[in-house]
Amino acid sequence: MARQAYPDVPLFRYDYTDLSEAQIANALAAPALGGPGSKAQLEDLGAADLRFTAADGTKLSWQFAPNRRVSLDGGTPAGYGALTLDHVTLFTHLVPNTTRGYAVAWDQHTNQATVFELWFGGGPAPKAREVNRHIMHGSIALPDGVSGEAHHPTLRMEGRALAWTEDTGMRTLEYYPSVTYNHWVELDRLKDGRGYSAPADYIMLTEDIYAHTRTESEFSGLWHMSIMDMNRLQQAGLRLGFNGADELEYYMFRGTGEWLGQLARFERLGDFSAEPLKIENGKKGERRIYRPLETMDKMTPAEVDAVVAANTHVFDRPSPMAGNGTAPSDKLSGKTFTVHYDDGPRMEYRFTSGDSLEWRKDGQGSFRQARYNAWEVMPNAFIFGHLLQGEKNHDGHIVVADLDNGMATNFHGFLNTPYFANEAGAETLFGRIEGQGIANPGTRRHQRTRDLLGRAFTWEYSPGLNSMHVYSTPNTTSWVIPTPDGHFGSQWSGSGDFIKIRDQLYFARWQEEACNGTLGTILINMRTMHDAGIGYHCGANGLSMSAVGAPARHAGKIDVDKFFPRT
Amino acid sequence: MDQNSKLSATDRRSFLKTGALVTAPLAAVAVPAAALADDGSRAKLARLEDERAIEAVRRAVLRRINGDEPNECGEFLAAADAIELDEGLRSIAEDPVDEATLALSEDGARASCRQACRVELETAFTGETTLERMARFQGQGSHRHSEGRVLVTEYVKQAGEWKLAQLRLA
Repeated sequence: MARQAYPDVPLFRYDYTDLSEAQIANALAAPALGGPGSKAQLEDLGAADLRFTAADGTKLSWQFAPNRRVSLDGGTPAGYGALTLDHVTLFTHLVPNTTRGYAVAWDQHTNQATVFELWFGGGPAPKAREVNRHIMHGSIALPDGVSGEAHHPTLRMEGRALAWTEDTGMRTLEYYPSVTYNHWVELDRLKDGRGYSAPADYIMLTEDIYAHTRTESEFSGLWHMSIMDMNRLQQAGLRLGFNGADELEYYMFRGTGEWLGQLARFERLGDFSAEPLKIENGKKGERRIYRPLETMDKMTPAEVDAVVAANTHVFDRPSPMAGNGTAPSDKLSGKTFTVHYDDGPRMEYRFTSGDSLEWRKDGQGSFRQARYNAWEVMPNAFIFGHLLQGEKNHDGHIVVADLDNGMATNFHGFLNTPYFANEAGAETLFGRIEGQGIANPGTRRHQRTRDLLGRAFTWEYSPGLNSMHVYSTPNTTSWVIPTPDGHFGSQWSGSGDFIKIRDQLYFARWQEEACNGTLGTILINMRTMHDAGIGYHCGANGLSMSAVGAPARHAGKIDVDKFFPRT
Repeated sequence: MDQNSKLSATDRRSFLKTGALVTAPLAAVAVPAAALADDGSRAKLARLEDERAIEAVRRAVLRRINGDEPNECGEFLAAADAIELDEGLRSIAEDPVDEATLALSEDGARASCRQACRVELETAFTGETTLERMARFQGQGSHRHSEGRVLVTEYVKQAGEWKLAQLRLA
């Protein structure tokens, strides 16, 4: 694969180089002496002597000198950069002859400070290119003393979303739907306008100004941080790490923001705790970073064929994703109809009972029996799913059939993708339904919609099993997992597609690419605030089609429509 | 036919078909001594003794279930499979406001009791769905919740001692 600084494939498909610590040290040597780049004029902190004491007693000191030189604890001078946001200064430097560096947010009104110690290699990150960070809150001893509240992790940013435009020209949508994760959309450097999720820090510096970091774990490993003034919508930040072409990015930036909205928070009123996933007595820099590729089953086509033959389950066991689901409907029983998909197959159906159907594809051969389940989510609008036994890719059809309007949409799932044979691929097929008493829609079809764009719904699947979806871009579904006390925590995302079936009735899907491999589909009824859906999954335990269903809460809508022009 | 097989063939429905049931709240156990002097005194005393014995069996069994020792209930059971617990059940707490309703058969050999309770259930997230994987990743390997149920118990008198014939949650 050719090296690309910003890959033209989804980041979870890009094979990032496993850089060695020596390669990284070599790349950092000159920038450590020269300091970070910046489009904005970097500030000169004169001959400041800043002596920091962290809450845990750790002491660090910086002696600044002309020409933007700084010594850490009297060591070799390094180049530094500094930018001030109102009265909070962010300064940063690397430590010469090491793979370490620092970023410090210093409130000049109170002398409260937060120090981010940064390093490549040596863990806890599994790869040297992934930036580690250790955060210390404390104060800087200066003649005017220390006042005010110590900096601290916060949940106050949870639910917000902003669009940032850096002085580099780069535009990024940032969703903060979690206390521990970030979801970001690069509008310029990456194609497709996809959203990705990454571990994050949210630190309250003042009522107005917050520090935010994200580490692009599982991808480039870059560390992107800024201090953000939420009233003035200004930021000053630092980007440190290696892009997809293994080029060092080490620069500071200023940015301007646009407030896009706020999702609801679900902690108990009065609960301001902000470290729901903290690892007690963890190693330096250790935190919970969701690494889905590590735990995903990765199978070959032969292994998939074998496991499908031995262990296939279609709606034959309870689904934890549907503990609060609605009961399947038997109203399709006795019906026969044909779905003609545009640029797709012609599927003939005979529904012989409430959970058994016969299908024939493109008129070929005889009808085949399959087990199915169906749910009537709005009157005469059904979602049903079945496997196509005998198809070489172990296909599954998950169909929304609107029998009032004669239209159908199929999230066609299949295995044997080029990446992992057990990972579900998906395509969306639109069609018309032909059958007795079913209106002919002519050329009308269900349509892709932006109605869900920027929305977030919580889903309560079973006791203790909850999530929130954030439909962050026209092709991204992100999911966030709450803790029992209502903090949203770990987050991941995959390809999504969103179809309008009727007013307030939407068919949505997500693909867990490089992450467990499931194709998840749901038909969302925004009038009843409930969904019914179907999961299609293959792993070491077999191929399954299972129910999904949960009541919903509408957590809000982030206003991002204008960032995704229709083509 | 041994006693256990008789019990297994006598479900609650057939038991109720005996018709002549006497029901009373368990709390109604205090009877003035003078009342025992009339012709019904022996029957009343016997009933009080039955109620107390049944109550004692029920409480002993619940103590062991709530102490995570359901296998220690043997001495109180009429059959080894008398206790049917929901998967993941962790505790049963009788509703202190609700009075248990006890029904004794006319022959005094069987009894049935219903009482509102709250049960605590634990679900282990051992599956391979992404949601379960992420819950485990967050340290949430299981979830406990409580819900209101009805504790249904059936009793049978064997060799003069009350034994639990069935315990289930409705």
